[in-house]
Amino acid sequence: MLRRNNKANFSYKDEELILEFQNGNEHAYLELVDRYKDKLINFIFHYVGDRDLAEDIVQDTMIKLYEKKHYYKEIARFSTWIYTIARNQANTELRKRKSRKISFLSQMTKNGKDFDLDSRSFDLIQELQDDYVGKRIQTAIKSLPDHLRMVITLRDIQNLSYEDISSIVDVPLGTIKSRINRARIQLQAELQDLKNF
Amino acid sequence: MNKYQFEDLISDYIENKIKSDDKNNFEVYINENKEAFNLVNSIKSNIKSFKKIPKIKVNEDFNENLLSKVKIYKNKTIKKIPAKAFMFGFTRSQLFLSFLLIFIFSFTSYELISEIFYNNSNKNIIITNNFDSDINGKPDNSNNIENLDSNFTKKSNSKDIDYSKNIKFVND
Repeated sequence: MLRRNNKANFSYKDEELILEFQNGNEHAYLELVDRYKDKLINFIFHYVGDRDLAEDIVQDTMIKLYEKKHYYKEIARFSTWIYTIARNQANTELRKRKSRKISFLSQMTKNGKDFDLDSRSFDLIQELQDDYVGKRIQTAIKSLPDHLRMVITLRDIQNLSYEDISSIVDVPLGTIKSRINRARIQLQAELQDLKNF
Repeated sequence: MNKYQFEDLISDYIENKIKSDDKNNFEVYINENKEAFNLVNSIKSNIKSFKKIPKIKVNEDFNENLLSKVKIYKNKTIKKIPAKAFMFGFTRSQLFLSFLLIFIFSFTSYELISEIFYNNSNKNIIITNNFDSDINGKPDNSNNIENLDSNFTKKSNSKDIDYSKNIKFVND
């Protein structure tokens, strides 16, 4: 079974690690999982709006990475490739859910717990404000159409370049710019009152 | 600059990717239009807010769950690996089964054909025997070894025999 390599793999690029993994080194796989699991869950969470579902999708993405490792070609960046897999997994899951007509429950906090209003400490108030802002943004992002939600998450939350987003979504660069612009304008309408925070 | 041109350039302006000519026109437009100015500032503010969103992390047992799934996948893959081809692209077991089936089919066919052939042969001999005994009054055993063709010839020749000689009246 897989075991973690004690040696740090910080010096390796993603592309070198996937090549190592293609040659049978499963430590490289674990390193890639560690590098991308949190990035991907943030991306997927804001896209699908459900934490548990997001985690399942990230798991499926990592399994796909294991199964389809030989499909990766050096011509593309690894990050673009793994995000594309995650996006496809998320879309498949959303299609399934839509067909079942299941609506998602919004999350109250990042831990899924109710707010605790007993404490008067400033830190807690700040934390609650951040949670509130986070929740409002999450709700506003969820209200966007799928194609706008995808690009705005990749750009403003994941901080990916326009070029990378274009590769991941498989849409021309100009269209991506236009979508991001429209998404930002729509979000501004939804989040106007957040200027006070 | 009209409203649509302005909206198309908002992101480029905020991210400092706007061309210098467009930038001048853009700034003129937002300075003349308070609503447009507020929109740009709101979008800037929202983008800053996005950075404040608390980052979530996967559960602690993520890797453990993942590895157990990988293990299941590996086991499935091992089971699915086909046996190596032995001859003509077939495995040993496939070849053995094929030969066994061919043998069973051949043997059964042979047995069936033999039985049919044997039954037909006996039947013809019996017919011939009866026919000879009717004519001569006693069975003619010499015809028992004749083959089907000769029986057939006999049967066809039998049409030429004059049966009237064998007819006896009750009063005779």
